[in-house]
Amino acid sequence: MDFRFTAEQDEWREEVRAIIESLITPELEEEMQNNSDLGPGPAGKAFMRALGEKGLLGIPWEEKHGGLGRPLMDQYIFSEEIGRIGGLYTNSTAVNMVGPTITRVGTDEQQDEWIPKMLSGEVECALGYTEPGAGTDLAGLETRAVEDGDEFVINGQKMFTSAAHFSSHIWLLARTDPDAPKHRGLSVFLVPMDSPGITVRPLWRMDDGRTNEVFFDNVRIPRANQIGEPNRGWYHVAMALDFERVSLGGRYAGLLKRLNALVKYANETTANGAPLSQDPYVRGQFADLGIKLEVVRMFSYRTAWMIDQGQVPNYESSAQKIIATDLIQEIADFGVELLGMHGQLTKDSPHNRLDGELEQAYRSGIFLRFGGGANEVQRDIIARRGLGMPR
Amino acid sequence: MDLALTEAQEMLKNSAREFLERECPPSLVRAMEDDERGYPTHLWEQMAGLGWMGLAFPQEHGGEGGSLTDLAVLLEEMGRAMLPGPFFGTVVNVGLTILDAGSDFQIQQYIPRLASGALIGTAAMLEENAQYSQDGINMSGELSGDSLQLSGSKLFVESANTADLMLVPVRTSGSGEHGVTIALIPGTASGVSMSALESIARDRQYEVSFNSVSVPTEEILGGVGEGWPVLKRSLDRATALHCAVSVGGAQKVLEMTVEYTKQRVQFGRPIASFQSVQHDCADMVNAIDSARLATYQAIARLEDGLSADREIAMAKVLANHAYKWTTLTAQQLHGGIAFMEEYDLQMWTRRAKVAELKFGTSGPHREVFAQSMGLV
Repeated sequence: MDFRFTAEQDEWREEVRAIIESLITPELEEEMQNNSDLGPGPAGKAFMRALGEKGLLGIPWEEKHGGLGRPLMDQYIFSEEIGRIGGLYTNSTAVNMVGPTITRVGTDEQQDEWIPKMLSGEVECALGYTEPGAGTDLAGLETRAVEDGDEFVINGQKMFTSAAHFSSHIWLLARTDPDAPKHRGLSVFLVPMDSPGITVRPLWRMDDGRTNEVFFDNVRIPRANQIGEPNRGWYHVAMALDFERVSLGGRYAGLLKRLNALVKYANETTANGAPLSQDPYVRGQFADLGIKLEVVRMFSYRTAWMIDQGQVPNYESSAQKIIATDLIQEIADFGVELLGMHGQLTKDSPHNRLDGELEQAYRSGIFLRFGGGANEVQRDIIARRGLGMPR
Repeated sequence: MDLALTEAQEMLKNSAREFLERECPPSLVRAMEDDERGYPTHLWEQMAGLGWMGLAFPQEHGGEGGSLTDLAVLLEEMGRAMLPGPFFGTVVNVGLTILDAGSDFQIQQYIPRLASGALIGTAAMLEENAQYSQDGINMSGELSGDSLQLSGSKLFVESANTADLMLVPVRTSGSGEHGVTIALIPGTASGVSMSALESIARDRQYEVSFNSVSVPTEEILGGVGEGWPVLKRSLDRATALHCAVSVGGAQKVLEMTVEYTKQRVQFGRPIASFQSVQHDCADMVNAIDSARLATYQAIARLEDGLSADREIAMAKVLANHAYKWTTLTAQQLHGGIAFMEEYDLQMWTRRAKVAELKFGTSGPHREVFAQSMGLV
């Protein structure tokens, strides 16, 4: 066994790091400072499209689709470098979730139409899954898509549609056969967000971020925008979710940066006459979090390595999702605790510590443990798929 | 990056599992808990015949020329089967340490016989203070002429009753890292006596007393007063390799638990269908996979001669948790039946707690990791 990167992979990391850094403009820095919770602004989108021009939105994609044809591990290395900076927009939903699904279930025409546009950044995707009455039990959703000649007519409501206010398209799961069993009557569509009949309303998250509800009122789209087999949408979406879990890999670098900032704070801050870092409780907590972070890294490499070997991760992507998202919350929790009373102060307070990032992280860290497939469901998957335990 | 076992390692793993399931079933492990010797001689001979004791030693010294990873694959299977006896002490604590730091004479003298299983070894390191550190070595050794005189006692010496060769670090001068001297002593040396320790795992451990035991200086390993670096490397290897033992035990317990919960019907359905049971098992999977990846990472670094303190510390913390927590959760999911002495699970449960204590509990290893994070 060998857990190290090759010299080529180290070179690749240097290369992408240099490109990413060269594309960060003063405008982008200012935008991320002021606007980061609302999604990418003009500078964020320009950065994303510039990555597309360099080929970096399509690292593991086949060259015929405009990709670089490199191993998935190289995508991971890129994700780590993006995550090291934090807050950068990379069209990830389109290129890491929707795109890979289209290449597996879409027609040749659909692949030729959509993939190059995703890899250039022209097509961006919001995920249209959740509804007011359908969350973890997603297959119970009620939004309808009805055939009418060469078109589908869509009616219904989606909820918690995070990127709907800045994406060009929505990757929509809707019911096409109301008489079939609930998992077998769904289809997926790529719907332009500027279609007449779509209304987007903001919903504000407890971490100040924006998500949305999206209403569909007799929205008409061409039949060609239905992707994959009709009524097999549930299975296509499940595949996309697997890809999403794999793409969580880039969390490592951002979390390492946060943990390192806390180490520095603990070393430099005195409490009761000694640095905080000399408190045995503090040291033990740091070690546990640092070790878990290394586990996140190893689990991420495991899934990427398996895919590069031509294997299909089974329970491993669920394992990675649980470990990474639980840790995001744990680090934020410990971070606020370490800062003591100052930990509660927001980024706008002059008395805050570490720019108030931990306070914000504590609020936002709640999200990923249930988002992208609740961690309880991931544990079900490990038990059922991985261990063969019965329903 | 390559996260798979090689084909040869897969074969070793499968054949070891098959052999140990046949020759070292839980009934044997149970019988050996009350056996004076602690393991059957014929099993030792069979293992020798398979080349297991020689696996990680160079061919020129009578070994198979395998790697530390090969050895870890085998140890994982031994942990799975709770193999009793002096394999770990012979190969890891004594054999690999002599190979690492021994003189030509010592290597010629001991490695071929350790590799063939003819010689049984054990390390007698810990004392009353039970510290795995330079400060734990206080038993006195005095140099006079061509010999070293040892007096004092060592604790937690595994399989001392059958050991032909003991590796005994003593203090010949100074304190801390300086002045530690390692002696190689025949188990039958005059002045050596021992008394058994009763422990939770009911394995063979002893207090060994040394009453003016005389050792010729050619049996000093790594030089007079120069023993600590040798012992530190020895402990690093042993710590990482023992994690493989824990991972193997934990994996077996997980499998037993999944099997049992599929069979056990309550409320008209197998309890394996309850989410609370499934989530416990899913957490076991994650704990075990974490420990296994960390263990093989640490061993790969040792094999490549890279610094591995951080990786070993992490592996030990994760393996301690994985094995202990898996056994305790398994006990909970089994309920009353596995609380009975005649049920096998409790044998793993008792060993998991010992595995946590051996080569350092999680506390000191967390401290090593904390230092590697840059905490002052």
